Amino acid sequence: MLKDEISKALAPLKLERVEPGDYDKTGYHLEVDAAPEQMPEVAQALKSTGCFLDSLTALDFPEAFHVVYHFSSFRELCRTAVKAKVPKGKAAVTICRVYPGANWYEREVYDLFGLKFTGHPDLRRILLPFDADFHPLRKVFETEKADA
Amino acid sequence: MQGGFHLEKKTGEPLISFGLLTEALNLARANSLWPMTFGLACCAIEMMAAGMARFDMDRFGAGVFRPSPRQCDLMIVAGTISKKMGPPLVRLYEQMAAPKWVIALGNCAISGGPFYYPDQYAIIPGADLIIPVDVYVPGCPPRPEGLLESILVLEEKITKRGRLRKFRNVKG
Repeated sequence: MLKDEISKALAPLKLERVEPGDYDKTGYHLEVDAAPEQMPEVAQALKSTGCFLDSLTALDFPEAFHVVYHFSSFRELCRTAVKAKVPKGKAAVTICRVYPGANWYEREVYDLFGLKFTGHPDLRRILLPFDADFHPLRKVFETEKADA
Repeated sequence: MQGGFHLEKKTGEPLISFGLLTEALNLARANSLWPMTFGLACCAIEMMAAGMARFDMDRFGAGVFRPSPRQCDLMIVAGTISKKMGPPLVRLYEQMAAPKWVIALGNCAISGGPFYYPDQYAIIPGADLIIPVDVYVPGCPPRPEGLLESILVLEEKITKRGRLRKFRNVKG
């Protein structure tokens, strides 16, 4: 089972949480919580098992941004959700050295949430104009203040 | 006016008119409008349908979609113009050789459509805010017949006679 392989690959990292998920309920075979600075190693471990990066997005909670990474595999149906909690005012760590495809996803998260990724080679806005001065998916975003 | 874009004043009207020759040229232009292969959103799907065999824009000489703005004389703005797409749109328009015409296809290209609300940050509500538009085609999206009619209306505008006149009984 790929799930066990991934758990084994993640074991040396001593992550906060590596739990099998209820696929029928949540759609994930494996749920992982990791510290943001561990993410490059987590990505490396997942890459060594042959997974690809499905999506990368963020959630805005009052105390922290949750960066959510989804991994899948072509070999067998095994979806992994990795959550990294980044406290407000801190930066996440890029995984685009491991998965080059994360480059634009991280730019999108930066664009819409204003969350910075340290080590990112080209952290510019991607969807909004380069001179925009707001991050629309933040909960505090008020459209009245936007430069319309 | 939207952030830094400027409205181009040139509409392709010649400085010197050669009378009959200009009319003959306009007749040729009106019956061989070459549109640009260029779609911004779902209206482009209707534009493709209008170009295909069933609706067949080629009947009116407008079926030759060119992949380069330098070979085009018609820009069909088919879809929502996001703020990011605005500058490239103006640039493509400016790369076209005059005389050139613009059709705003669908509600988004006319006025922002369903994406417009006060103080929105994402779109440019209307192609005519950044480039001069000749014909507006309402609809969300418009039927291919709508686009065909807009081509005929544009022919009317270019030749000042056109195919639709006899059906509409317009004197002129």
